[in-house]
Amino acid sequence: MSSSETPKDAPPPEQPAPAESSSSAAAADEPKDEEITFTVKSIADNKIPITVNRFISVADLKQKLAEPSSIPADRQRLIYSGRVLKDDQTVDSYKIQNGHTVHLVKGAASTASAARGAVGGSSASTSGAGTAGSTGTGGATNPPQQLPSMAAGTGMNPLSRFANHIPLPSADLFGPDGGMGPPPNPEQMLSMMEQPEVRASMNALLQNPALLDSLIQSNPMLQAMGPDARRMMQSEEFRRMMTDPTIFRQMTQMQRELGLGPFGRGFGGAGGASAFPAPGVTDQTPVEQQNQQPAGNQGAGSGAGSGAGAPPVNPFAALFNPFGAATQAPPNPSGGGSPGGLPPNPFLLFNPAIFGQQQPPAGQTQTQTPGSGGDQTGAAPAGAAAGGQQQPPNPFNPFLPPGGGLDLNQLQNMMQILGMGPGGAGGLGGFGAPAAPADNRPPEERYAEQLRQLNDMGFFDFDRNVAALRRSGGSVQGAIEYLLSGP
Amino acid sequence: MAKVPRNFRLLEELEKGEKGLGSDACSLGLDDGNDIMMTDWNGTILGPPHSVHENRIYSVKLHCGEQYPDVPPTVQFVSRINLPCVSQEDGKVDPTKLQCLGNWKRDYTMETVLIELRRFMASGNNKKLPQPPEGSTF
Repeated sequence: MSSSETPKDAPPPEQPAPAESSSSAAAADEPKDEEITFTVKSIADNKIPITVNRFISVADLKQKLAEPSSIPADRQRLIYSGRVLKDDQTVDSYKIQNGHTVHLVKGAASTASAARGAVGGSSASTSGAGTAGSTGTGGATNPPQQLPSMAAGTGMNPLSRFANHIPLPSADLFGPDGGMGPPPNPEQMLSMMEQPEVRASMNALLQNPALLDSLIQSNPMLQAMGPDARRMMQSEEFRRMMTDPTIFRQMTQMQRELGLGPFGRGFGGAGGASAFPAPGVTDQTPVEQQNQQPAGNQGAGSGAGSGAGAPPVNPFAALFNPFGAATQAPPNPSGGGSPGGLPPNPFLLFNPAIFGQQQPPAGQTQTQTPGSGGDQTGAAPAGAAAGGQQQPPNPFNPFLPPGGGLDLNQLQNMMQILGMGPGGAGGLGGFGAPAAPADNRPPEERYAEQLRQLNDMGFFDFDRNVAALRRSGGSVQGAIEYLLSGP
Repeated sequence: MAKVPRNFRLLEELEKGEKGLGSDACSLGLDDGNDIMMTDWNGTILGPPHSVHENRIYSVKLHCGEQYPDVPPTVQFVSRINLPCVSQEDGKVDPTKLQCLGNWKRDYTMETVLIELRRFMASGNNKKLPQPPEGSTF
């Protein structure tokens, strides 16, 4: 039945084909039509019918195709019957028949020709070798030179990113509203940090002195730091802290332990993934410690670097953000820009702490800030006073303030993670204290009332409820919005 | 169900390749137009986008033995490529490491193989593997 059908279907192609192949063999001897008509299938299903003399070279064919395909001849790659057509061959030599189809692909300008030469078989063909020279010393023989161009092809060129002064992280991190949305949660940040591309591009960024220069230039606070800024950014430690997900993870953990209090949201707002705990309150502490303690240093830095998407959505964030203080200090040039409009540049987030060290006015105004916050005045002076005293020109200086306002018990978790000496702990007193009162209560206790309300409303998922409440800083309304819009 | 004889099958595939009826990303044709047995074939695979293979063109050779399509063709890369299923010695594709060759079915075609290879290039880690310079051959 179908056995009789299949041959019936098949013969038409079957019969002519052997004839075709024999005819093409014969055709070489016999005179035949000079003109052939075939279709060139370009990208996006763009079909270009073309009639050419069959003895023109492939290079000439490409010239003819340049206009209809709007691909310059040197970027065209023609493929027929599983072969890449070489420029110096004729159309005829590939036995293209009337009605057949040639694929046209757009390749990279110079490497394309290199490939054209080599892929076709004779790797040392003239066109291939000639143009490959422009990529480097013969694209085919030098892998290290080829690899960067591949990276560039996939949009990883750090320079091109930097051209926009938005080097890191990628734009989509900031959300559709340009960064004013909720901060990415630690898990998102973590997963981002774990992507090799992100790490690679951060590394590339930090290794490029030109980028660093430009970065420093573009940022008044870094400028004020002078050569120290550059030294710090170039240090191996800093780079590692910016790129190592495990350190970020550590910091996230620390933040969880630290940030349980009502101000946890504030920290989160200021620090993006909250890995940069309360820069405002701690004043310069994080950075100081960072410079002495690799773990603390790297963690805070990565929090700052990757937490750029976090706007101070929470009112507390402003309190805890040194920029809040900085804006109050008239002479400060950079304070105005940063606290309100969220800086796309992650380093700006990192800067508050640096700034705190570098600018005495900021340190002093900070004494006012927590005071205006009201609640945490008791604890604030310690940190603020330390900030006032401490104006080291070099961020790497050890920070050894008098240990006032220090509560070792409250800070124990944090200190373990930071691996901090008692000397350094003094500086932490400032921010340990305000967060402390509610710090140690588990979420079910702290949010008992809110959780009960959420449960009444039909939100039964405890983990999500707690997460939502944390995001909203304990506001049921905010938590509901998050739960309804959330993932 | 009738079995399509080898030559009919290959002629179909040849026509598909020459007329460009198949996938845009792959191309296929006889290595020697005069080969009545239609044993040796050339194929190209366009590197899948958003991978290190993007903008590259990979050439492969396919060999259809007398048992084709009852047994899969043997596939060998001409262009150098770093891919788990491809031998770094000679570019041969290890049939046990490519799903469609390992579990060959009679109605698979050479195009199936090329498309599968392309998908393999674009999958998971393979799209990030460092690749030898473009244009180098085995």
